[in-house]
Amino acid sequence: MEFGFSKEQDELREVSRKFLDRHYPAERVAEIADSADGSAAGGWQQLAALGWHDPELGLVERAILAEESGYALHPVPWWPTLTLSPLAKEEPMAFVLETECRAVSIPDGWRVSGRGGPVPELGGAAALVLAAQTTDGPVLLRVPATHLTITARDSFDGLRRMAEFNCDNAVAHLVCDAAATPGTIQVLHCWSQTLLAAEGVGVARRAYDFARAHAATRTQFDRPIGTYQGVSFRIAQTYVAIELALSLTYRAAWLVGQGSDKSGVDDAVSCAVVASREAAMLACEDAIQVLGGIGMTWEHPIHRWYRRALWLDAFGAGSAEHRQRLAAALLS
Amino acid sequence: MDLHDSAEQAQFRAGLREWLRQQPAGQAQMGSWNKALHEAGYAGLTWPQKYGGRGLSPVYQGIFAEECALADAPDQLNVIGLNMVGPTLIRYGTDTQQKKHLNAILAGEHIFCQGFSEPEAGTDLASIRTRARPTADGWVIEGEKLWSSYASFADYCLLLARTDPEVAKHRGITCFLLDMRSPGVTVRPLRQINGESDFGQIILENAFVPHECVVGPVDNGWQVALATLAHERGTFGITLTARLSVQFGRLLATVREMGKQDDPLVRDEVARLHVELSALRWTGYRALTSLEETGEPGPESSVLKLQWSQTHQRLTKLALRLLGPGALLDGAGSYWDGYWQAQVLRSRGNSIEGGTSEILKGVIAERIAGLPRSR
Repeated sequence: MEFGFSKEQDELREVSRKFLDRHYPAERVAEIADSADGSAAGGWQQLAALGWHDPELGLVERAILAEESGYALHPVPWWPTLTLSPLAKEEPMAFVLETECRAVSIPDGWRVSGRGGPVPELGGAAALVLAAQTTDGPVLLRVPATHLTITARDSFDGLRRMAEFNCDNAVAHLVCDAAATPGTIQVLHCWSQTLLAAEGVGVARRAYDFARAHAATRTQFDRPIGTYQGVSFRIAQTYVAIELALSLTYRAAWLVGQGSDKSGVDDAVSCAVVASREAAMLACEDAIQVLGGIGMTWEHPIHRWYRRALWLDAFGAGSAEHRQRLAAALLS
Repeated sequence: MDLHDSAEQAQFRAGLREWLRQQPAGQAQMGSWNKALHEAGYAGLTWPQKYGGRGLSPVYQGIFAEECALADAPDQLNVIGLNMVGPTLIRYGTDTQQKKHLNAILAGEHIFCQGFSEPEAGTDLASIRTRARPTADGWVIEGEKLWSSYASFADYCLLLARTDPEVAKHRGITCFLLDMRSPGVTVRPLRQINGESDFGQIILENAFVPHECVVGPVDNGWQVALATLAHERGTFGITLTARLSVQFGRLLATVREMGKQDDPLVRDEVARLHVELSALRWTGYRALTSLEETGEPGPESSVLKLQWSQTHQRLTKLALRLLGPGALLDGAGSYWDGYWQAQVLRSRGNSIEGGTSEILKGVIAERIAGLPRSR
């Protein structure tokens, strides 16, 4: 039993943290969120150059990158890349595992028709990896963005924008055939959810850092507000939630990365998702409360992280559904 | 990162599990369990070999705590001797003290209790009032100690008393080894809100302690006490969490027996408790790993006791609610002889004993979050 990070993993975290801190301070993140496409120009190429696309990266290492990305609110579509990189080409991508698309195999490849979304990060993607129904069951296909009609939607989180797509007999390339697709979809669900759990831990840590920095310096009634237990206990409780979520997240990352048995993996992923969402929400809400009036302004960046926490809470199966799955396993 | 036992750890765990399975039931009382553990080599796992221990790393103590809890093994009567007094004597004790007590602690022949808390000194432990006055050949002690586990079984007590009332309160405290059979020592059971007596009250009326029973320098007992309390932190979280897993198993049994397994609200709350319990378990392993690597429990260990108390309190309340009108009864003839009734009441102490939740949050706020001191 050894539940700690290796020296190499600590270094990976340190290097990524420094990189993100240098390139994406909070003011820059806010500017990008309010910009036309909500993503740093050239940011993805930079990330690829740093090796984030490396198919050999383990899931614990990916989770470290995801956590630091949540901390920085890394304004680049890193999440589909870290989820898909063992499967897909080196390009900015989006993916969607539930669609109303149908695909047919033709002599020189595949054609796909249908619609889907809202899909995160689709706006800036070079290609979309989607699941489409065929006569043999679902397959995973890669569709170049140029063959899709993409409709951007006004998005609650300006840094992770949503878009819908339409396609009619569009050219597609096979990523995964009908025999392998159900298993691959299961793996992609686990990877993507675990990475989002790690992102949530990073979001929570950043909000906690905003809160404690403010509480240590903001003075009211001639004392730093962090000396009042009403404030300091709130921050302590946030710390507890972060530590608990972090343990569950890396336990899931390790187990999923090892390809452990399905029931163990399902349990670990659901626990991580539920705890991470709760930590991210609690940390952001407490940070806004501790910040007081300034935290309610558009200028203060905390709402960017709170929007991400709310995005995480809303994306995919809800926490109540995860808990029902856990209960089913416990009480079956 | 490797979340499985190493080959040696797995072997140790399997051997222990098999040994626990073979033990006859009913060894709980009067030290026979201590002796059985000692003979099987499971006492003093982390003590150095030159003091009769096995010199193993904290992970093995964690495995031991976990397997004992999961097997619902009896309470270890000399747990205070093994986990707190022994390591303290190894660090601060004289040769004579070590020779007298260490082997006897391992063998379960000297049962220890702890005389720290007092009516006016709970959270603020350094404000103890129990006085030790010097005589020609030792000290005479007068005062009252509360919340002392195993006091009614104990042969000895690791006791804090004030030896110099003129200096600042953290100074002027001395640590003693008190023979519980000395004249002037009276133990009364302390009846808790659930009617049971897990703790004792120790009344000291001119109890005599010879010079050779002072632990560490006179007036330096606070340092000794801090070291003693630090020994408790290491693997205690693992024990608490493993016991909570067993309690969670009992909750699931009650859910089924009450026919509530399809109630969506019950299922949701059961799943919430499962998430918290899993989080405690894996955070405990993280803490154990940092203890193993650095010799100190990491900052994450501070959340364990705080969260454990909240989770256990919610678990017992859910269990009692499941009984419906059955929760209005108690004692023989009620569901599980009033087990959950007693547990709900007892669990209120979880957020008080061993550091109140308020103190723990204050520690996190100041030492981890880096907030300015509130006092």
